[in-house]
Amino acid sequence: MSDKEFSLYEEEEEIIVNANKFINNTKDLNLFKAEFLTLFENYKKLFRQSKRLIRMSDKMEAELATTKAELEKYSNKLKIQASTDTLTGIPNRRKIMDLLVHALEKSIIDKEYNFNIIMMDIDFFKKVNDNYGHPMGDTVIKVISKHFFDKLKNLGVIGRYGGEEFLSIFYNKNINETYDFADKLRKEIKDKIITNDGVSLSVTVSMGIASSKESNDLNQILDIADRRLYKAKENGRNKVFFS
Amino acid sequence: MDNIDIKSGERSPSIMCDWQKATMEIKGESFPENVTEFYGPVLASMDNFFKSNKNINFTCTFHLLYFNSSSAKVLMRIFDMFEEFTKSNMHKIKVFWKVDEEDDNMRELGEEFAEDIENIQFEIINK
Repeated sequence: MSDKEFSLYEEEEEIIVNANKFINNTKDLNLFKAEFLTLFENYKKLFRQSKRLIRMSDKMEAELATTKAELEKYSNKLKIQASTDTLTGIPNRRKIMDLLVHALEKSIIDKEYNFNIIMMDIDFFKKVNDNYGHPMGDTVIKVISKHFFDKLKNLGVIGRYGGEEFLSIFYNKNINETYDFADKLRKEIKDKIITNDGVSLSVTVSMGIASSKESNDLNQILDIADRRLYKAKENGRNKVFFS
Repeated sequence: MDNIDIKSGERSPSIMCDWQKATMEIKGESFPENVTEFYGPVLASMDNFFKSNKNINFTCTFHLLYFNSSSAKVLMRIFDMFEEFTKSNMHKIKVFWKVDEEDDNMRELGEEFAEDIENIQFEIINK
């Protein structure tokens, strides 16, 4: 065995060679019945092994498929976890930035495609935390993000950009439509009573809007929206600015 | 005769063979790119060892986590070899099929091998 090359199917091949030799060189087959039987038994054993091999392979494949499915499930769960804000369940900063990059790339390629972004900040949020405690602060963030999310439907996406700051991408709408949506939302939030642990309050939000038509640069668009948000704050808060 | 000491790779198990102690252990995962290249020299050394010695009490331990079909075929060749040398009263060979406690799949595969074994001692043991 050590002199020749190892083959996985050495025994099977040997049986075929021997059987061929035997058939070619034998004049009276009855005289060699014993040899035939040996070959037959050997081949039966190998056939049994082949069947076993396939059975074992099926078992291994099934095990691997199960493991693969489990891994995929886990990996999808991780992907969702990595892109979701744990408090609000909306996209986190990383995810919303990815979506923004994607929208920007699309708008550069397709001149017909455009989007607006809304940068929104909860006014005097620090005071909410200081006066009512962090659980109330968390409730405010949750209620406002849910309200925004529900109203947005399929018009765009919203993500948590920072602590009390949200970034929304509004697809294929002109700046006036975006403003109308934002201002309606602003009013709705102002009128909303938010309750946590028996204590109620209401808050206002300020927003700055920028359009993809204003720049092809990611940071510049963000900066434009941020400056308008700042302007809304400077002008007494509870306002939406788009220029 | 030189002992065999093959370290495990990404796709191949470790193989340790101490001829003096008459022990062998194959451990890890087995789906080598070229199963013939990987196991060929090992099988040749085993065959050589069994043919050139007499009345050896040989122990072979398998602790595998995964193996592909070609590796299963190699294992069958190994067990066939063990069966032949035991049947002809040349050696006494004992096989331990080690499985992790929760690895039902590997236990069942060990039972599959055991079904074809008549002459050697084949034991499935929990790690």
